[in-house]
Amino acid sequence: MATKPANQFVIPNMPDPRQEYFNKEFAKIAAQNPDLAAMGGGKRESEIIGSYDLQPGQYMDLPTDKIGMARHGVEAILRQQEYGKELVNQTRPGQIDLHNEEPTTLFDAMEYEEASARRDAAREARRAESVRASQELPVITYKQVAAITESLTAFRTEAVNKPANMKPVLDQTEGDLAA
Amino acid sequence: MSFFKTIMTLLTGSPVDPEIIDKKHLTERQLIEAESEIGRHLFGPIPAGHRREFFCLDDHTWVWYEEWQDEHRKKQSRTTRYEIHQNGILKVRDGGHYQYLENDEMRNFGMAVRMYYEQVMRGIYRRDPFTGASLMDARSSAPLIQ
Repeated sequence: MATKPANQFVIPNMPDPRQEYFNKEFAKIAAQNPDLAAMGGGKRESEIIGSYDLQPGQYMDLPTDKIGMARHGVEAILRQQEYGKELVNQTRPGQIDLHNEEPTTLFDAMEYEEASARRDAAREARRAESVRASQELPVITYKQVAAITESLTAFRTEAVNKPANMKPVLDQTEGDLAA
Repeated sequence: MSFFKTIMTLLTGSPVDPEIIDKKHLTERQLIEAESEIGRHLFGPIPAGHRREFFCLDDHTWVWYEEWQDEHRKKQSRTTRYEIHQNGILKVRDGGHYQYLENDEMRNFGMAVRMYYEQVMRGIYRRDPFTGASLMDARSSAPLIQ
């Protein structure tokens, strides 16, 4: 379980008691409903959700392709539970915050899809940035050059002055030179 | 006298007599020569007919030596020294051209130095370039037979 959000299904730590109740009951609901197929959800969603011990303020490392399933699983569970319905009815935008983006309501599928699209775009942007950064040569300052040079010559001096410390190295290097 | 020793003599002013080399330990020049074996290949393939040396001469000087034959089959050479100063890397070329490295040239030189360091540390001194730890110790401490 990670400690900071990045592509995760986020349960924000909110002081709202309803949110705390939601978080507390979240995994329990899923665990107690292994088969959600008849409830508009699905068994896989239940398993995904139930496999995480959610605590307020913690973040789940959910695979990207599982986030949507998890969300739909939650919705399905809450729809079918009386206390869930009550909770959902009281739930306000922002209580399930995907990637700390704009608040989304639980049942606003369109808004969810938009959030998902933003998430995908953001992920693609990060990937492109990562590729670009990896292709760029890092900048090395002259001070770093000086430090590298000093370190290198120190090892060379050690090899010359303390051959005993470098004997395996010298034996091989001498062999290389002879070859 | 080998090509490398010729260069070193030109740069440092004193020749190397191979007869006086103690076979039980390498001299600084021999180590530099070994380092330059790595350094000369850092910049890609060496053009046909060229000879190249690139090495760290001391704690404030790097040397690039390039030798080739021109169209009249006359031997040409160029020695470039990169001197580490308090305010930058001064590039000194034959004929008294002085110039501080900037932008891409500084970046390329820095990369070359780092590649040189990493490869030399591993290949010559058998040290981890990031920690300085002996790679020989790590290898010797590992069980040879499971």
